[in-house]
Amino acid sequence: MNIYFGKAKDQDKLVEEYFQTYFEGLHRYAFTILKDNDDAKDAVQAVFLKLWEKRKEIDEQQSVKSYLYTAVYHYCLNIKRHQKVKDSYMAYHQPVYEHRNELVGKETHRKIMEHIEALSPQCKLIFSKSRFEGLKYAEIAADMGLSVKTVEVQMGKALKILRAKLFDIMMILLAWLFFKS
Amino acid sequence: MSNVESLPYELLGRYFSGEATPEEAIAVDDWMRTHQDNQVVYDQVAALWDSAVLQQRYQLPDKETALRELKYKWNPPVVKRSFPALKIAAGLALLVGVAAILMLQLRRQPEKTTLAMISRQTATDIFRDTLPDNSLAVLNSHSAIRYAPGFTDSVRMVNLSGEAWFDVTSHPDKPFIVAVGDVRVQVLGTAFNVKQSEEKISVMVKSGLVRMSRGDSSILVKAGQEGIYNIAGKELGLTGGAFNGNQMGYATRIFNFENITLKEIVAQLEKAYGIKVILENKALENCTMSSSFENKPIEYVFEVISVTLNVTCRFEKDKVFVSGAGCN
Repeated sequence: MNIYFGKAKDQDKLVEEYFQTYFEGLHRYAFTILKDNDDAKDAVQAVFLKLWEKRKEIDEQQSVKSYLYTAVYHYCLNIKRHQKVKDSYMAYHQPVYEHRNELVGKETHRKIMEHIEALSPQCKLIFSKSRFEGLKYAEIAADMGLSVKTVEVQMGKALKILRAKLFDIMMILLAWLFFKS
Repeated sequence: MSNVESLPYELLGRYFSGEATPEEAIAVDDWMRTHQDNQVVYDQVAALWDSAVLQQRYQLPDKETALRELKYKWNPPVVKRSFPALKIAAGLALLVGVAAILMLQLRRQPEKTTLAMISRQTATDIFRDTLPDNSLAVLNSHSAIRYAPGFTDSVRMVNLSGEAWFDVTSHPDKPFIVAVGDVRVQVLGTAFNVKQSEEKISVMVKSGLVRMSRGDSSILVKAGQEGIYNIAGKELGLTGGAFNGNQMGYATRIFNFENITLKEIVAQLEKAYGIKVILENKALENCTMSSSFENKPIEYVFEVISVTLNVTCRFEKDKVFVSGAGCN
């Protein structure tokens, strides 16, 4: 540790560099678990706050990267556990953003739903349980009497088929997003 | 890697479903970076995933703002000194300095998680909310705020979308911050209005002083001034001249009507007082008048209107019926 003795400033800079490098990836990851942009941001900030406190002990890049992703993972799971207790949480989160994708929503949503309908029955059911009911793979597997691996394979299949069929819509959608930002 | 057959759909499925372990999340990010085509595939699957459900879409927050909020927490005095705004405004530096020292003392309190946030939102009505520090927030229609119960953090942070009026009680040791889009509006004790629209975020200050910041740049907005953040251009600036205070009338009930139509007057009063006004003769809409009201009872306001325009006003619960000959 004494390598960094008298180099506190460098360590401060280092934390900031890690933030610049990993913020986006960590935020996206946190969002996949929490499904909320603000909560995801809070999670990443909380993790960096911890890293800041431990900055004297930082040594090597590879371990910091996996530390950060792991810390975000555990922080988010913790938040989720609390969320389940707090029904009100969802109650206030949903409506605020309800109107958000109105423009892109209706038409694209309808087309996506059509293609989801066209998936094989098992594939459709698994995709719906994951995406619409927010069930964990393990829960879906238990519900349907399948292995988690099968759920995983079917989800991959659903994404592959949908992406292929919706390629044209995706282009319009991305153009719209680009235009918006 | 961009070979269609080798695309890691199963990994992406786990990632978007929120099932990915930290190692898998790293794998997804690394995969994305290895080839531009991979990034495209990722974006497509992400768009597909997002659009399947009509709920919150993924959006990367402004990184610099996030970093700044973080710096604010981890080391106020050292970090603050490097902000350009402080070099510009010596007076503000003193205020922030005091706040920073006090914050440092407060920092020992454990940070509460943002879990049990209080949230308020409006549909077509407006909503008056007394915040935990006795500050007043008035939400205009179709707006929402959320904040931590009791304001236990070292700053009083309120997240806003839409439009709201704030009359902030002074707590020099606890800065009051409104987070709206990419912009932060920081105050120590003042009354001001924040309005977010598609193209801009506007802050009209009635009294006191606020600082609007976005990323590393910031501006000071004084009483009587209006600060604007242009969302597309990502620029902060002040509008020339004074703003029209009637815009905040929904919250302040302070109106200065100068030769405007009864139709417009009535629309503003309906909002501010939560009443419905029925003009029984359509020709009344075009009548114009000038008058100012400072938080007067609604009965008084209509008395002035009836005398000025020679009309009759009749109250029935929260409805007001206005009758009389019209104007041309």
